[in-house]
This record gives sequence, C-alpha cells and structure tokens, in this order.
Amino acid sequence: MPRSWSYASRLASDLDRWRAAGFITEVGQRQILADMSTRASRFSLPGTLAVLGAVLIGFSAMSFVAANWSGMSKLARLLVLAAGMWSAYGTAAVLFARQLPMFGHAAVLGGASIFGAAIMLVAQMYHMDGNPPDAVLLWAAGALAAGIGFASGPVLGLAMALVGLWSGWEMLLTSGVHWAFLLAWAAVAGTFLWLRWRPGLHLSALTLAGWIVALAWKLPQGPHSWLVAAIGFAIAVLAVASSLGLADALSGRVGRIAPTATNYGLLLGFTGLMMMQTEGARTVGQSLGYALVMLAIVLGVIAWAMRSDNRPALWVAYGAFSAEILLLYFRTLGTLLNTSLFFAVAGLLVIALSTVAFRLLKRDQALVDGVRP
Amino acid sequence: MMLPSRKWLIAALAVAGLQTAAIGHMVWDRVQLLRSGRQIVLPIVPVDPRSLFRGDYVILSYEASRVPARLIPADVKSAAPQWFYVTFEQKGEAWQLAGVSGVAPSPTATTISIRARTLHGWHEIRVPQAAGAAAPIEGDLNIRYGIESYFVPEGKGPALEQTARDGKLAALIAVDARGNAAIKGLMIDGRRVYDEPLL
Repeated sequence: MPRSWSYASRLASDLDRWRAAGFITEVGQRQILADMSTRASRFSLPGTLAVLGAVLIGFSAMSFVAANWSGMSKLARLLVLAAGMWSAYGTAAVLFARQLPMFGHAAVLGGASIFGAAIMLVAQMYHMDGNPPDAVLLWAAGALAAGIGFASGPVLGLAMALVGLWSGWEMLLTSGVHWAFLLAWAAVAGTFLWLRWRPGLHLSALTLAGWIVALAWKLPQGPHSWLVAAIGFAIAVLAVASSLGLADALSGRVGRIAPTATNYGLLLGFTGLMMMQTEGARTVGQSLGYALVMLAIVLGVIAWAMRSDNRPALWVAYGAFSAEILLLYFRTLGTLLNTSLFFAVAGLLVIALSTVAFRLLKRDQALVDGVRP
Repeated sequence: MMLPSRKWLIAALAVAGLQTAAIGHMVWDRVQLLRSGRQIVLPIVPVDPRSLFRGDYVILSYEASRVPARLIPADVKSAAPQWFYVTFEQKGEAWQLAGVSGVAPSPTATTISIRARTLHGWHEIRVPQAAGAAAPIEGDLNIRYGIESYFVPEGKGPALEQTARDGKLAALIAVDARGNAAIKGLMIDGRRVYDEPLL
C-alpha cells in the first residue's frame, strides 16, 4: 500500500531529524524502525501478484466464452467452467486453512470471476438477451455469497463494482430512479462493515455517491442538483456531529467510519454545488452567486480541517477549490472583464485566508511556547 | 496433502454449491422453455444484410420491435409499466402484432403473448410530420423481447451471412406460459439454418 510506504519513509526522515535535534536517542530510533518493520504492510507483493493472476484467469474464462468455440460442445464448455469454479473454491479453502489468506482471497476472486463467465456462457448458449443487468445482478449475488462464505474483502470489492454496474445499466435502459440499488448496496456495504475491510468503505462511499448523482438526474423533472449538494453536506454534518459525541449510541464501528463519511459527504456536496452552477441556462450572475457560496464553504472546510487535523478533508477542499476556479474560468470565458473581476475577488479572499491562517498559527505557537519551561 | 479445516471446507462447498445451483437453474429454465414452449415464427427486418453476421453475435431487429402507437391503449401508456405483454395473432402462416396490455392475457389457439419492455422508456419514435398535416402523426414505440441477440461461433458469421444474403430471414421463437421468449433457431426462406442441441 503506497500510503504505508510513504509513511515509513516519512517516519525515517523525521526520525533522523528528531535524533539530530536530540529528541530521541540512537537506540530509540533503531527500536522505532524495528517496530515499523515488524508491522509489515498487509498488501504484500506476492499477494498482489496472486490477485492480479486471478483477475487474468477470470478474463481468460470470459474470452473462452466469447470465442464460442464449436470444437467443444456447449455442455462440455459449461462443465469446464464448473470444474474451474469448484477447484478455485477448493484451493481457497486449502490456502485459508494454511494461513495464506492473500492467496486464498485471490483463489476466491478467481472462482467468482469464473462464475460470471459461466453466467455469460449460459446467456450465449440460449441467446438470452432479456435484461442484461439481471445477469450482472446474479453475478453480484454470487460474489457476495463468496465474500460472506470466505470472509473475503477483495471478492466483495468485485460484488460492489458489479452492483454499481447493474444499477448504472438498469438506469440507462429505463426511466425513473433505480431504488433497488439501495438494498443491494446495503447488503454489500454491511458485509464490508462486518469484515472491517477498509478499502471496502471507500468503494462503498464512491458507489453510493455515484448513485446519488444519478438520482438527481433520474427524479421527475430532474436534474435536481441541489439534492446532491443537500445530501452531501447533510452526510458531512451528521458524520461530524456523531464523531463529536452527539450520538454516543452510534459509537463503535460507526464512530470509526465517521471521518471517512465526512470527507465523502463533502466531496458529494461540492459536486452538487458545481452541478448547480452548470445546470440549465444559468446566467453568469447566478453562477457567481453559487460560486461564492461554494468558496465560502471551501474556506470553512479548510479552516476546520486544519484545526481538526483531517488531512483528507483538506485535500477534498483544495480539489473543490481548484475545480471551482477551473469551472468559473470556463463559465466566464468570453467576458474577460468578468473573469478578471472574479480572479481579483478570489485572490483577495485567498490572501485574507492566508492572513487568518498565519494569525492562528502564531497563536498556537504562542501557546506551545507558553507551555515550554 | 493437508486437508482444509472443517470451517473452510464448508465455506467452499456452500459457495461452489450455491453458484453451481444458480447456473444449473438458469440452464434448466431455458431447457424447459425451449422444450415445452409454444413455437411461433417472427420475421426479421433486414437492417443491413451485408453486415448482419460480421460480429460474433447478430443483433436481430424484428418487425415487431416497433409497436405502432395505435396499438397501445391509453391506460397502459399512462401507467408506463416496466414490463408489459405484446400479443401476436396467427394469420395463416404468419404471426402478426395484435395489441399491447399491462397484464398477461390468457393465450388462445390463435393468439400468444410475449413479455416485453421498452428500450429507453415510453418515448415514441418521432415520425417527421408532413407539411400542412392537420394532426400530428403518432409515432411508434421501440421495445425489446429479450430475443434480440444471436450468438454464432467465432469466424462462422460470414458463411451464414452468405446464405442469408438473398433469403428471407425469420426467427423461430419458443414462448412459455409466463410470456418468456427464447430463440430456438434462425430460418432463411422457411428453412432452419441452425439446429442446436439443447445442451
């Protein structure tokens, strides 16, 4: 995982600095580094390669189906895939029992991919074309069952991706909101929560965010971009409130996902605000109004993120700020006076922010100095 | 070889068994439909006969893929159901579009209903209006029966395309009691070109 690698290298350089400054001894530095190396990254290279290998085998199974090879009868082809599926799950059981979980996850992923290929083969055998998303849903259900049976995060990742594909395809083919998505999403996201598999949390948040954006378009008389902004900021506010202890009953697992929920809520909220600016035939004046609201929220989030040391929220805010500047630049393009006015205002705002940040930093510094003997 | 512990063995058996059952059910469902469903022949619109079989599967466009607006009752249109039923009536050898309904009508000796859905919602295909026409012309509705794809072995397309070039193309369709349809085979000038085994 690159993040842990970068943490390790950052820690190493910090340790050098701290030892030079006399904060820690050489023995202490060595002990800290030794402790770091024992907490090996959960994403080992062999495990990653095994998962990649399983994905490749899955693609091989799907191409085998697509080739529609007449040198083998349909039944024989189906039996080959079934045998592949059984041996993949059997291998997974052996690997998990031998305490080789990363290889086990890879085998489960391979089995679930072959299951998908088998669904495609049956559809091809009988020229089934009724409702392609149904086939994707069946595949997702199979992947979910495998994820529950083997307590495997990666295969649940596949299930979540398939749920997203299913819902997207369904919405492409029909008009109206695809509410059934929420059930499937909750089933997979709930399993992630049960497994405490962190990447699953991000995958769930992104899939739900994508669905909420689609919801705004699919509701009658859409798009309702304000809804995206409202849901996003509501999630962010609720998550912050719950982490502040307003909802003690929800602490525990939910408490630990609150910071992540905050950041994805903000991401969704900013997306909604930007959609509002581009929706329909808004005048430049209206767009500027929304832009000012957006910038005010961005500045607020930056200030809050710095104080609460929420680094990802800071990046979300920076990203939203950059995207907004770019959007406004394109919106006001052609009227250079407006562009000039906007950048002047934005520039003054950012300079004001930097002054405030400088004062805050100085105050914190004074507090730290006051504590020192 | 070390045998996996009981827990993992149960997990493997349960997952593989469940997924195999799902695939088996799909196959069984189709075999039943093809074996015992009623048969009808639906003509295929030759969209572009030269490129029909170029890919590894063929997109079949039926004459009945476009339902004229006059056949759609107002209540069905306003309800805009996700699934609905299209009824065909036998006129001699041919089966012709007879009507659309929201619930499955009971089949008779000369009628049969197929479950269908709209292609992109209940939007009519716009027909260009003639200059000076008094009333707007009602458009057609684009629908799908789930029998619009026909898969052929890789590289086998061109030979079939050659056969189909001048012939009249039709599909042999099996329909079960619930209105589900499946392609049994393709016909050129009333002759089966593929006779595929059920398994």
